[in-house]
Amino acid sequence: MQQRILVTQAAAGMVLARPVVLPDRMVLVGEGAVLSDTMIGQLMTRGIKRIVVQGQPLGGPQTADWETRMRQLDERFERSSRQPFMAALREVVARVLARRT
Amino acid sequence: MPLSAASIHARLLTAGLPTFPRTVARLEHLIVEVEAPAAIIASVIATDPSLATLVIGQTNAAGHSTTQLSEAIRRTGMGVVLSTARSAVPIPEAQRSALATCWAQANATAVLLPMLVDYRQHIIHSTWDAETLYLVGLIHDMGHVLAMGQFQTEYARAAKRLADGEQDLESLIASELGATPSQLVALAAHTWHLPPVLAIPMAHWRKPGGAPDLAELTAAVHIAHVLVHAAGFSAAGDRYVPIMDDWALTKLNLRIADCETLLARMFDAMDELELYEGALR
Repeated sequence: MQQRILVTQAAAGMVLARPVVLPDRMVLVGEGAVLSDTMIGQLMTRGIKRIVVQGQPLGGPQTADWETRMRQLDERFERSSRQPFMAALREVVARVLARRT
Repeated sequence: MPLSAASIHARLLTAGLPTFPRTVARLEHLIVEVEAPAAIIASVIATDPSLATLVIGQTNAAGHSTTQLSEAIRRTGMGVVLSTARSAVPIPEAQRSALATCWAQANATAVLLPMLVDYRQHIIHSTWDAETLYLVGLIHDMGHVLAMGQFQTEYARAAKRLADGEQDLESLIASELGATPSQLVALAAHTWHLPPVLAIPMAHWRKPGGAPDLAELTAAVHIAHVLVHAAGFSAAGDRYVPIMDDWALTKLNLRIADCETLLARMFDAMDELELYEGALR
């Protein structure tokens, strides 16, 4: 399980799930690195806004396994899926998420 | 028992906006120690709805008129930016996870809104630059942030009633607190010195047909919020996707197939952003 987060949401102790690579392909921080405050500050100084960390430290749709994501989708639409447009929107979201797995 | 209007107003005037202490610490590091350029400072503030609101408000209170963060930072100067950031209230540890979900939803809406407006540019008669639209999306739900951050007890009771089966969070907050998030933000927007292009969508996106002006933009904010929430960016106690407003859909002539296109583009854009920022393999 991994999650893409804003660097401003990063905290010391989080572990990078993907390396941070600069535009010239140089690896700035490698996969598995444990973030420190200094490291987070350097990422921000380089203008990097998002990183991918291990686990799911924050809420968000991109991380859980497929069954969990579909269960969460059903929960989000629990109060609205009897409305035809919302039922159709639920199917749209399921398709978009499926294409991205 | 709901609070009186005077109590609500007093708390809005005296309590600051919540933010993550580490964001303020990083801004301090970037401004004081690294002397980072304005573009980097703007990119950090552009991820934080509270700080973005405060910086834009501070700039406009000084007599400028801007809806762009980069211009606001250039005009107001780094010293004012830093003192403005320091005036934000550090969010308590117990609320950090909830605030993070609000920030994630705000950032996703900020990515989607300029795309939606561009997608419907043949229908929308006014034009706004992409940076302004990003900001409109980023700060559109500050009413929710105010309710959660400044009226924690009442918000927690409303969220519990929602989880127990009552509908909907907006009405439940009004019942517990005495004002809806839209009413809170309408009160606060004046003290924040926000121009209409930011203040009107913020106060009316939940019921866009009631906006006194900027109807198309407010409709676009409503649609962007619903799509982002549907895609999985739920914020704090607001766990259920709101029903899409028929008036807003008609206003922008948007159909379900358009929603699929927009959602796919939003996720692609977030990936491209990541690639551009050098965070991919």
